[in-house]
Amino acid sequence: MRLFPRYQHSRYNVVLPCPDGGHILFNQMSGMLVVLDDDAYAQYCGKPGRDLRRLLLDGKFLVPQGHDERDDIRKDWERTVNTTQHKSLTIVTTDRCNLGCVYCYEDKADWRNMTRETQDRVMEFVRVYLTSTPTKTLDVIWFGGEATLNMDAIERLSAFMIEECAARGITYNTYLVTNGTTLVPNVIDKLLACRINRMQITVDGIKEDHDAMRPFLRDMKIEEMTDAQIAQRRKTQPGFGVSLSIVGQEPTVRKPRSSFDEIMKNLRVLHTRGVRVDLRANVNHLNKEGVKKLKHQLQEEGLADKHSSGGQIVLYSHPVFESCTGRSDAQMRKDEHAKFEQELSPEASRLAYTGETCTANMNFHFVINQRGGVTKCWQHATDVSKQIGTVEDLELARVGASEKDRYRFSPLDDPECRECHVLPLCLGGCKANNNFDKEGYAGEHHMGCETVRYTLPDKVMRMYQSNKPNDSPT
Amino acid sequence: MKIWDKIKETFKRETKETKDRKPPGVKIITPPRKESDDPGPKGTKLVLQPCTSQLPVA
Repeated sequence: MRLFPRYQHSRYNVVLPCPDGGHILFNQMSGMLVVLDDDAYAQYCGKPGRDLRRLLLDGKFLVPQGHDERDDIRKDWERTVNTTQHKSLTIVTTDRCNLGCVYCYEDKADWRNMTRETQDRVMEFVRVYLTSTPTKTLDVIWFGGEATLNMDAIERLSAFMIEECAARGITYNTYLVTNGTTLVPNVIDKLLACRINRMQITVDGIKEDHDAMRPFLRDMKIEEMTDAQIAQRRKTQPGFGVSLSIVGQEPTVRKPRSSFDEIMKNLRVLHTRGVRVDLRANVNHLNKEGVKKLKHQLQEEGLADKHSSGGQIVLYSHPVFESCTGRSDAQMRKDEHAKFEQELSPEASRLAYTGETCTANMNFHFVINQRGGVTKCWQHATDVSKQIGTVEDLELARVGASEKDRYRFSPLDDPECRECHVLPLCLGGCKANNNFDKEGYAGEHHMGCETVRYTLPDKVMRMYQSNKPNDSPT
Repeated sequence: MKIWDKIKETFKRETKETKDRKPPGVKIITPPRKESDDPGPKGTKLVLQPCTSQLPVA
């Protein structure tokens, strides 16, 4: 909209009627939220006076006429994805796992831990990686399989990287992705010694739902297993299922254990040990009510509250594809999941453009698997066809993935993302899932997008309700 | 004080006063985000959460 000679409205303004009178005005680029009374709003729509104009410029509600804010985003994008100063690694310590989750995508073809010899190669890669270009921070994510089944790799590599970073004045951050079943007290001690005090654990709702979706592999009945799960089980028990007599029998003489019970027991300990847990619930229409009940359980047990040690369990959700569950009626579309997310977590969050992007887009982010293979995304961690090199390729460590990344993605060059009304808040979302969207795997589900695409007005209203002064209306 | 310093001081004070003056009919609910609002380094996510369940089986 053209107002007057010098300025125009930002394309990233959100305008809502205010329940307390006037209009709510929010800008995604600045994160500023104001309420305008009718007179001020009329000025906003027409020609703002000097003081209002100054405020609107501060809040980026107005931009110079003819200016395209996507040019600013592109500049930030180029700087972010090419940065050498902030580096991140995802390290797969093993592709072994003790669970047989129904939706697991990893083929676990190796079924082995990262060896000490491979760890030594990783160390050499990291040394070159940290010293070839200026580095301020290193983020390391431990991943698997079940990463804690190879504590030796976590401990050895952590000690090396902590020392390297300390010697070079580099800030070291670390994070663990784990199924949570192995975190008995002495393992927690070891993790804390490796500075791992933040992690992701998955619990898919109430016990009944969770145990059905994430059973212990050794406790599964063969008639309930997929071919991949049977193959996985045979890695530890070669004769499993070969004899027909085993079909229809209980899988083990032991009473099957509940992975839900194990995890909840460990969560209670983690909470008192100062660990922040991002508790992920993979959700579809079958377990969504159970996920809400899980939230109540966490609240009733006090686990959702911050413990005096600093520990906290924060629940969030992610949708599961129908191809993983075999139920076409079960999958949530992205807009349905966005709505569910709002129901599950009604708390307001601060919205604002930060320039952050999926790390798989960044030239100096690598995923290193248990064999020393290098990919760009953890979804491809154990997929040899997606490798861009190995840790022996020290040129990767020196110059980054750059042209070797066959799955490069920029929201500024994608026609749909570029025109999207939430581009500053989403910045293209998940790179891998965007490619799946483009290849048609996800149909109309828009799995690459952030849920804010569907909930922006609601989120802005929650921001207002949460932050408004008590003396409203304006 | 030199005349030029006086002019600069006056300009600085008046600019600040003008900037701080809240226009009538406006209630600021949240101010613009500042770089210091985020704990992590600019341009990166401090903590990453792999999206392992979203992968379709091709």
